[in-house]
Amino acid sequence: MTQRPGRLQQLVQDDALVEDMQDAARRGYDAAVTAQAVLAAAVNDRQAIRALLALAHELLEGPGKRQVAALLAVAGRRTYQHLRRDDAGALLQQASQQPGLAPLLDGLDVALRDAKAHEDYLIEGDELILTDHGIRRLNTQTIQGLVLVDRVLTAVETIQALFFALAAAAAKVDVMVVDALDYSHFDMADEDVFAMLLGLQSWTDVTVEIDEGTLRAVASGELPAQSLRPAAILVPHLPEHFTQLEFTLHTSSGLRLLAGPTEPWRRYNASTDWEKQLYFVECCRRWHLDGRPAFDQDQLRLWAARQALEHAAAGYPACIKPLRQLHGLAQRLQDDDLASGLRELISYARNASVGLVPEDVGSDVVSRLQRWALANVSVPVVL
Amino acid sequence: MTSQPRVTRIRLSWKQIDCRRCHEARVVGIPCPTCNARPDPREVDPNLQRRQRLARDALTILDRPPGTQTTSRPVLDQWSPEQGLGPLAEWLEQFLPALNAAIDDASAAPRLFERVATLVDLRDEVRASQWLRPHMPLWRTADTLIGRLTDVARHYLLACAAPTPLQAQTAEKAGQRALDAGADDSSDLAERIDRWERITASDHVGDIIAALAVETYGLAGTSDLLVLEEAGAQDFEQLLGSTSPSGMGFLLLFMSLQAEVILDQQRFASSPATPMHC
Repeated sequence: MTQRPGRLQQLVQDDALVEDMQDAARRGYDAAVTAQAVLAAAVNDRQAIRALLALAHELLEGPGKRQVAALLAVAGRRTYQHLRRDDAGALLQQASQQPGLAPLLDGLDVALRDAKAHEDYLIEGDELILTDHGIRRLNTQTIQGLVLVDRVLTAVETIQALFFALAAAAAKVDVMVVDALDYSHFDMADEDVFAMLLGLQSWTDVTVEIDEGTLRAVASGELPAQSLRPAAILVPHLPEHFTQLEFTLHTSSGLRLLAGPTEPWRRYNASTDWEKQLYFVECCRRWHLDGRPAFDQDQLRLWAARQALEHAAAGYPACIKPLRQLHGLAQRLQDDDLASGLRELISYARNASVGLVPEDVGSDVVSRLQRWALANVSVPVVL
Repeated sequence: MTSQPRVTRIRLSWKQIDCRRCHEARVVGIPCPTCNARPDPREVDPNLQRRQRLARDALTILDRPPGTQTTSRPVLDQWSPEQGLGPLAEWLEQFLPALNAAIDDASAAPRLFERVATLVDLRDEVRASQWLRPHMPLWRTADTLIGRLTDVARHYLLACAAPTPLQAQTAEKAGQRALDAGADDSSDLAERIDRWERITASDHVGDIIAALAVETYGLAGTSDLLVLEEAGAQDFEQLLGSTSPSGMGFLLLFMSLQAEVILDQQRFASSPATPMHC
């Protein structure tokens, strides 16, 4: 798929594809749920075979057809929009003629799809017999129940693999075709999905309430030593419209409250190295533990001043970008003294590089930052 | 295996004589390690000869090609791995005692041949069976395990036929290593069976998803979503060569586990990368 970047680009920018992929995920999930329910309730082989056949049909017509159309859109000359109008059988036929694609389509079975679509089959004992317009021919295929289970699971395997292939190919050209945060196909309320996610970090009795952009969770359990971790963990799984998180935790040492905005965590998750550290410190300052910021002003200034002096020592122009980022942090946190200190340090560094340094100004801002950097303040472990 | 085999050693002895040239003791039938004098072609160790015949006959059975079974012994009527490891554990417990007995006493040889033939029957049966989902991972592990047991048998039989104590020791050590590897594989298989039972304990889809999630966590050795997401994202990048979109890492781990438990993990892991390059 990545051998023809132009075709790929065209494919992943097709709105129909993005919509179809979500739809395909939903259909695949629904089909599996239906089959599971029917299989659980099926008291005999006849019902189980019918359920499996219906699942094979759903998998091919739903996710299978859309994925095959996407593969062909990249490999061939026709567009996705055009291809998806063809029927599943024709698409599969085309794809199976391409040696590179054929082995990927295992389990997507047109014969099973046709048998279900035309109700053209017999069931004898635990065997499925595909008929030809109701007539059992000499060379008629007989499929054992166990083999049918294998074929349907092979289709599931194929669809999941193609799902990742498409998502990855799209990610290569910076397009998200699958929204991993869309849990709608689970048929679970959002509240239940988030309660499940929180329950998985060994919290119990989790209840979740959603109020516009705010998610409130109440649970029993312990707060980890790195107390902001629950927020860091949950935020990547929250859709964008959630802006505020509030945890109320019944611990063995009493009630703990953890609350703050999701936005700095999103920047934290999307960054690496030093920037990640920077956004983390912002999270610490903006998140409240039991009503107080996880970092107080002195702790913030200590960290920011140490970073600023360290970067300034690296010299101009390398120091400018990190100093500006620190300045942005101070502004976002509305720490005016810190912000102005950092602004002065930036001009000092710039001026020094061209030999325009009034000695007294330089020493003034540096010594102010040094005072903050050497303050007797302990930095708590929060993540 | 459900229980470790108690016997991991075999008892072997070699007839010794004094070298005609240097008079140091040496094993019959081999050059003198002290003075390098060649052995007399007439000197023999009847016990060793008998052991070598025993090993040769047992190895012939062990290397029997599939479909050439001469006796019809319905011992293993349609065994398949989801029924458990009973037959393999039993085989491992009985093989070395049977070998030791046959080394000590020629009349115990048929029992050894019967044990070796049982393993070969199992091997033929597993290879001739249709490996179907959802039991594909069990079949694959069972096949690996039978391969280990075949190694165990081969190394110990070679030890039994070794003309010198040193060669026997080397072969026996290889046998012990195969035993250890077999123990690892079998605990892996037992774990898969347990995991499958835990996941399918409920008929409710929500419970099955939750169970799969819990197993994903357990398998990754953490209950920390951040760590899981990172681990999954690394797998994603390694497998597909592009940066994992947010949330996708966890999904990949989740689906890989499903593939590992009920699907064909080897195919699942190789498939997504294929269309990336075609």
